[in-house]
Amino acid sequence: MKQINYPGGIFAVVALVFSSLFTLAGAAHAQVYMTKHGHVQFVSHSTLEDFTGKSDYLVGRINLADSTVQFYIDLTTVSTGVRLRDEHMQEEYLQTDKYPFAQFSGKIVSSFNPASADTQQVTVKGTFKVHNVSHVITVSGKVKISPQKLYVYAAWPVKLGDYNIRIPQVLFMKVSPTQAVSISTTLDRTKNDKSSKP
Amino acid sequence: MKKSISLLTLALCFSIFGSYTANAQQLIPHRADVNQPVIATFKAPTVVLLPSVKNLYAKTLNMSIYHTFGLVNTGVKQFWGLDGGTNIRLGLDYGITNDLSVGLGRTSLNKNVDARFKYSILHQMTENGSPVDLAVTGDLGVITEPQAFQGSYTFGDKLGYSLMFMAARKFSDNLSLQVSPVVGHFNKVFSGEKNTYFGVGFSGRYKLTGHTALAIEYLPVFNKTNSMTNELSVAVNIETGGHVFQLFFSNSQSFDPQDILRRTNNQAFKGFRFGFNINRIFWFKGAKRGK
Repeated sequence: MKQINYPGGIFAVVALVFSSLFTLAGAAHAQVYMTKHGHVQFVSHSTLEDFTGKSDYLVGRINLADSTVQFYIDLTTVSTGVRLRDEHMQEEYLQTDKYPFAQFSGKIVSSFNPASADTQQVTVKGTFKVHNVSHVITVSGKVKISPQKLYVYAAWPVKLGDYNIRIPQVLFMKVSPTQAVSISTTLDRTKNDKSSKP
Repeated sequence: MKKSISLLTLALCFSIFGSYTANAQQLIPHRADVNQPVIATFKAPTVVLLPSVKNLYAKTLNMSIYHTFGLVNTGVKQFWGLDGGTNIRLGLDYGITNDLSVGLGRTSLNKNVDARFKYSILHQMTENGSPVDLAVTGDLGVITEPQAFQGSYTFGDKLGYSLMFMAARKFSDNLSLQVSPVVGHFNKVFSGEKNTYFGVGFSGRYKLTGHTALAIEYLPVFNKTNSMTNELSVAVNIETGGHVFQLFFSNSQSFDPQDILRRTNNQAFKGFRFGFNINRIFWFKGAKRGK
């Protein structure tokens, strides 16, 4: 019978087990939720006419473990219900050939309970970028967390001038200088954190 | 001992890597995988003078003014053509559906009144589907100038018409090209002229800035008579909101495809005119997005 004396080896095995546990615990805490078909819309109010632009191609990722919130939308998928207006909006004002996306990347800065199934009010702070102009904004929204789903609603005003977007002044095309933007979407819990790349 | 150290290193790596992947996922924006018609291949219903695949959306109205002046080579006496020799067409076109529009116009030359249609057969798609826009347009004109026909002519004698097929592709955000075979027919012509002419139009638009584009078109006529020439036009398009202004030089004085085929008789680069088009598009309440 040989004498087994591997104190260093035992230490390494213990470390490995511990680190694996830590990693697993990290993965369990990495509550990552994703969507590729969230709803986003903006409402333009003016004295002459109101109109709404909508898209169901909002891509989002929320990680409750580190509180990160990321969304983006391909602006060419936004429709206002009038094709000519969509064409003008894309070509003239948003310049989607150069700047195809509106993006938000931030963190949940208010406290929230990831274990609660109730609708919770949260505050998110981050960078909103559209038309190649970025501003740090703070948005309050609602979340409803379940083990598999995460429902999000948030609304905030976007002043077109802040993002260097011209406001159409031509006859019969009235656009409010401030657009009411809102998102509402249900994100699905990802099985594997690495699958979160779109 | 060596083995244990390497195991330790491995374990440390695992734990670091584990926490890294949990935190540092970034969303990289990708274009949405949506198959939709390519927009703004051309911004106006004409590239310069010849029709483009651009159609009117349902319940939109295009009010157009096409205008050519006299020949530039008349010099300072005629103020490079601005004094006279003008021709003007006033037109209204209306989108019945997103693919079919009809229009009426009146041209001062020969007091020609014309009706036209444009039908979009296929749309170039962003993802998969047709690689080109296909459309067809027809124009029926009647000469109402009493002096144009001396003697006894029937109404049918005063008619001229054209049918033109257009295939266009937007190659990039800046470049769009179109090929358009066209046939024009006149019921009654002078001796030495032909009743039917065939040609192929080649048109292109290159976007210079967000609101300006260069447009060019060339129309070789296959069976032209000695006095006829091929139309060549070059325009700068100014494209804003619901307006498209086209400022151009052309060796054609006419606007309807059949008349451009038959009546262009100046040598390109020698006998050319200055002209402009104004297109103003309105839409009516209830103009809905189609497919």
